[in-house]
Amino acid sequence: MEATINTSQAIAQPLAQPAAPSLRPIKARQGHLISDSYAMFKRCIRINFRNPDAFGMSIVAPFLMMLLLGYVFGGAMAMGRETYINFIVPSIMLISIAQSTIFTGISVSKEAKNGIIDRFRSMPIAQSSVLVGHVAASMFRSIVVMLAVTAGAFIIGFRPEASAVQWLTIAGLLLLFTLGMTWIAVLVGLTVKSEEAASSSLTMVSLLPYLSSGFAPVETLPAGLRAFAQYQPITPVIDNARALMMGGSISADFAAAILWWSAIAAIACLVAIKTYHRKLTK
Amino acid sequence: MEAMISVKGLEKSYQSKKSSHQVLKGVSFEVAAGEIFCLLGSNGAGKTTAVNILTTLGLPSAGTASINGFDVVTAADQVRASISLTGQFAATDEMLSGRENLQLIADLRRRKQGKQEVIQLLETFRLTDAADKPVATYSGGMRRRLDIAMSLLGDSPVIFLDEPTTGLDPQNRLAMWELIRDRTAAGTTIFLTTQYLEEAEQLADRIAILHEGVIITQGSPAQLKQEMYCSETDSLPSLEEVFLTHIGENKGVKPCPDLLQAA
Ligand SMILES: Nc1ncnc2c1ncn2[C@@H]1O[C@H](COP(=O)(O)OP(=O)(O)OP(=O)(O)O)[C@@H](O)[C@H]1O
Ligand SMILES: [Mg+2]
Repeated sequence: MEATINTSQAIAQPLAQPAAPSLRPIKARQGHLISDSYAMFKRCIRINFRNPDAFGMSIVAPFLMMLLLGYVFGGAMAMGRETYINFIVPSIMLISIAQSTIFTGISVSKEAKNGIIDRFRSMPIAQSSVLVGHVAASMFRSIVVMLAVTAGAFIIGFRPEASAVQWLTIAGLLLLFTLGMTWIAVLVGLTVKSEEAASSSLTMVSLLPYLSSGFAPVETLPAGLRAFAQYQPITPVIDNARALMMGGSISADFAAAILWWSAIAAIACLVAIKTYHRKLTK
Repeated sequence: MEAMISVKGLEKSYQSKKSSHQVLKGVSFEVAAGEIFCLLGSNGAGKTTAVNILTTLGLPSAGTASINGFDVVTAADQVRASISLTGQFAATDEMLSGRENLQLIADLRRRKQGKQEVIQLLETFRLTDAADKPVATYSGGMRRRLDIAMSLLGDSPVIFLDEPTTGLDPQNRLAMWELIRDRTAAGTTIFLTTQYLEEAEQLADRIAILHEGVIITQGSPAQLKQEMYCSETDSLPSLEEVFLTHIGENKGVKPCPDLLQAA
């Protein structure tokens, strides 16, 4: 019968596995965080690309939003359409990034119930590499999203004036934002009971860029919202990214943006790794 | 000589809000290096619970366990470096192909000739034709074969197999037995659970029966049968009869008077 395990071959040609008997002298082959995470990263990227609906939407949706906001509302803005497009590019990027991190939250939540995690947990690898792989894949997606939004924006009249150094600063800032948002997504994915819950709670989080200086100058917002928009951690990211895109310099709250998102990333990361161990131990 | 697997007074309870359910109530046994040890027990007896603790997936409530001389709680990293697990439920990645699943394990185990090993395992487990299709399209038996292949990749001194042949057709089950024997010939220690008593009889050097939270008997298949040898009947009981008698479910057969006396 064709589909029977082929033992004759296994006997004739034993697999490269002779080192079996060992009583004791195994050195803590704990695994290396970097190489294990790289293997996990490759796995997550593959899974991403095999899920073209979700991945494609994370690029198409921002592009459509760009067109919609730029053309439909741009004309109504006092600043004029061109300026408005320049004004909203950073916000669209942040929203798209925030949305693409939802994908990570859903994957983590799905995976927490999958047997493959048990396999990983019983293997001599750096245990946090499972999560780091997801986060690295999210960073990669984020770069793709940034490029896609920039290209799309160009088509409808985005005319940035940033230098190469300014672009790199923007990219760094947005990647730090991605890092923070992704660890939050991982934490939510590990904490909530179902994928649906992960998806809906992270969608709420991804709306935060709307409640910032992202689409309208803070001064034009109603009083309560204005206070929130002024002090929430997304506003300094958007303001600085916007200034840099137009060839301006960073503002006083650049440090605030870095501090906010480094702190968010660090705390969410530590809590997520702790949660991973606590939740999955049987 | 130090035992490869050593379990002493292992207890495990699952706590829920209202109640606490004690599954293991002081389980003790030892497995020597190179042995095939088979844990038998009814559904819900706690076999998987024991496997989980021994493979560092779960924590014991009390008692100790060590693998290869390393404590499963305090030296979990070393334990993981000594073992390989095929869990009761498939642990493959649905979105990846069979080859990618195996390659991932080869990468994580840092196998120098990972690619070759993957090709060989695919061949051995008759998955070459489906190697590049996503696992989501595999049949149940193919998935199980891939799952086992993923656990056999590498050179772990101890392999845990929790009901490995459930869902395999008879010819694949026989082939699987042969693979397991090959591994022990190379000195690998095997910890097996199964619902097929014939499998236990064919493979196991030693069998332990887990019932109501404790090991009620253990020994080689021949010993277990001999113990229950009954002067009234002229043949040795089958392993099935031994098992059913021990867990008190052997309704058909009259209990042997010799045995009742001993109890
Ligand atoms: N996470 C858990 N929380 C609460 N109870 C659990 C948990 N896991 C297992 N149990 C309970 O522990 C008992 C033993 O389960 P276990 O899976 O170890 O049995 P088993 O011997 O492997 O059975 P089977 O032959 O059906 O695989 C069962 O009563 C089960 O309901
Ligand atoms: Mg079980």
